[in-house]
Amino acid sequence: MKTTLLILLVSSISFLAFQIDNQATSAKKKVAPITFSELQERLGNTGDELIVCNFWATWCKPCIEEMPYFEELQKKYADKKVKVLFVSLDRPSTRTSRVQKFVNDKGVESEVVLLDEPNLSQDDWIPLIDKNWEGDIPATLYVNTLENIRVFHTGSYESFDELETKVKSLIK
Amino acid sequence: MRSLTTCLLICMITLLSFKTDTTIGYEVGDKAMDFELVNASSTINGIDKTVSFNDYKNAKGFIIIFTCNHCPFSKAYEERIIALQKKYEKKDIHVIAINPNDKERQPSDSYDNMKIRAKEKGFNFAYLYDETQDIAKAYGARKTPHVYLLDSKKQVKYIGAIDDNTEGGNSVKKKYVENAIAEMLAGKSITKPTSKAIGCTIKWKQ
Repeated sequence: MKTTLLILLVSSISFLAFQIDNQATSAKKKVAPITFSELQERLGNTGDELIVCNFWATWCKPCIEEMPYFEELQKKYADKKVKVLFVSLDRPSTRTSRVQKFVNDKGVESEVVLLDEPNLSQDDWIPLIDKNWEGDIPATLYVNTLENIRVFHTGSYESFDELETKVKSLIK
Repeated sequence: MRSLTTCLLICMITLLSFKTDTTIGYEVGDKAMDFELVNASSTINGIDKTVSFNDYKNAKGFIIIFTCNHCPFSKAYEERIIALQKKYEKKDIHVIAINPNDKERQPSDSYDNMKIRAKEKGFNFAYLYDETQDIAKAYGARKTPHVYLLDSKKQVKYIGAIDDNTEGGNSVKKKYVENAIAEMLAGKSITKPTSKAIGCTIKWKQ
């Protein structure tokens, strides 16, 4: 009887510990790979939401510096139909070693995806994001398909105010 | 009278908006300006000496590459840039690399660091320091690496990436610059005069 109770106790504690650990891990955002057509899908069907699609990479210093502004934007405007989407242009082979590690270390809360497109060259898809884009990052695309909004910005934002001003001009 | 003023005002505004829509920098077909920039590599006139087009007698063309020390995309292309110089110097076409970055914003792109990199990697081409960033602005360069192929008359024939894959090696399917050079030397028009690629934004002075 005593042994059974003991086993039950240990099992319960292990199960509980496992649950807590699971919750802790799922609180960390997982970086999912995305093909270009999947990205196009999302950007082509935003519903009544403004997608703030930021192109960045872990090795791009100005990209890292402006990320907190986008994080703040997501927090502040979550209920105002604004969705931040970070699209990493790191090498797909480094998704776990670099991008996921970065997201975990920095505690990035907005959605992060990594572009993994084996069939198109950059020269093919860059003009499809914006015909004037040379490929310099950071770059941000604002899309709301319902409101017919599609605005592209290259270069980094120097402050949260600068980013917020831009977004405010695009939402009602 | 009032409707005439309104009309004129509208015309002015329309014209002004066209002006701001104009791309700043060179487009294919434009004539590129000369420069006189200091060299961080031991080529041409030697380290710390200036380089301009005149230092290349009878050049049949130039492969101008805006690039730098720190950008991973620039680094990924270093070997290929060295290979381009090696292959085309026999044909009197030379690579001229130009670093346009502000060292305040990116200390690893300082002139001293350029000298270190050029020596480490054995750059066989001029590696020039665009300290004022005037040359980068004139060309309209936006990132590193960013390539401008010029013919013997300094006319821009091609603008964009070196090839279609940063990874290099067997991943490369289209060698944009090499194809453009072949057509240029054959006196043909360039079938693909521009291309796009991801790169590090130029660190402009603030």
